[in-house]
Amino acid sequence: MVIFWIFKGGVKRNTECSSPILKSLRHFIYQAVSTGMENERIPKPKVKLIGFISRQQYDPLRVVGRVLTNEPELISYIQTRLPENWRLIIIRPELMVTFKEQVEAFRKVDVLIGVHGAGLANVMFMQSGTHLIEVFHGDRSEVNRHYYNMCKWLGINYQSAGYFTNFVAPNKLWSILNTVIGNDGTEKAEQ
Amino acid sequence: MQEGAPTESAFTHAKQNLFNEQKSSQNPGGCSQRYGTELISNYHHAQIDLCSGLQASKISCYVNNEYEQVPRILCTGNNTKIVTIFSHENHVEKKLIVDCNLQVYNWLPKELWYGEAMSQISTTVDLACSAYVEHPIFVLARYDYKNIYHILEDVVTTYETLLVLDLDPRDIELVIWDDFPTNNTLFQIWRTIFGKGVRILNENPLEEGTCFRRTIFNIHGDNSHLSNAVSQKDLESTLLY
Repeated sequence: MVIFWIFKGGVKRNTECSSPILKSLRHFIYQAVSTGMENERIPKPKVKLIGFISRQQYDPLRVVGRVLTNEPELISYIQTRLPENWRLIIIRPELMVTFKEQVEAFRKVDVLIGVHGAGLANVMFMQSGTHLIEVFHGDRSEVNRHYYNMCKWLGINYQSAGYFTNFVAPNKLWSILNTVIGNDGTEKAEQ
Repeated sequence: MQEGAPTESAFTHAKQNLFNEQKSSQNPGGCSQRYGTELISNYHHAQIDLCSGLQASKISCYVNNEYEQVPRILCTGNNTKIVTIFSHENHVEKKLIVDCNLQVYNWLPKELWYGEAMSQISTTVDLACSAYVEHPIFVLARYDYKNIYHILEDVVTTYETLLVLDLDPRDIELVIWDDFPTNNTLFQIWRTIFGKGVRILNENPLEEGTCFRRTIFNIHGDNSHLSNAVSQKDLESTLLY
């Protein structure tokens, strides 16, 4: 049973390559959704953004797994500890009504936090030099490398955090996030 | 496009970006063949004609089997036709019709050519075209419509196909072959990519006698960069981590 849990999921191998093709696809998407104004230099925002992908039930026809039981508590714990120049926004891609909105939401975040699941594929729209913190719990363990690999291909920094239950101790997740934002000397590379 | 904005297309920009990224990447050996410009050029080393000669239609395919267990294949057609038949409610049977004799390659099983369109290919001795679509059409049978990871697999293989053929999607119409829903937010990706519009065959079948000067058949989405490449040869020594 434990072995089954460890190996459940898809991609199990690490890449060591960056992907010029994926990076140029990201560039293509940025350009394709743009209105022309995006080609101009965007003033660097003073506030840095943490995107928290909220995983919730939204479709009556399916049960969304791996929902954190203490997500509001986690968010509040993080929000009260963030340095002045950091802000946390909650992202629910399934509620977005345009593709452009979805691309722009992820393009502007500096750090993304989310539970392992397809929503993390939105790292495709994040800029080089940003960060992903992938939370594993429930029926998926850290052997699943989908988003590690996407980050490697796209030049995004990656951290994972594995837990055995759907309750994530806020101080443990904060400790990982605090290290990431404390070390955030890198700047987003505008594509 | 706004006044004063660059007239170069997104695709032209992206191609330039690809070469810049390739130059600046500090990848270990072999990466470019899986994720860079060598991947694109390798397709041109294995081009096969599925049908050619003096007949009206021509189908050529580009194969990349250097790094994958299942070869990645994309094809282009000249003078082809898609026939749509309403079989029952909400289902439209589609057939790709070509006027030529198809070559059989035993190492290239038909079901691997393409998920849907290329496996529904029939030959005829007369296409009976009454009108031609002169701009290229890109025939897509999607791998998924809901899960963004798998949708991106279709997007990545589409982009790879366009790079191999060096075709700007601004000049191409997308034709959706599959039966998946088309009314969610993520479907807008396709309208964003293709400049000459999106035709959903189930909702908007072609008029009888419509033929295509140039047709493009995608690498199937489940054989993308995002899943297959890494599972086969990418650091074979690194099982798990």
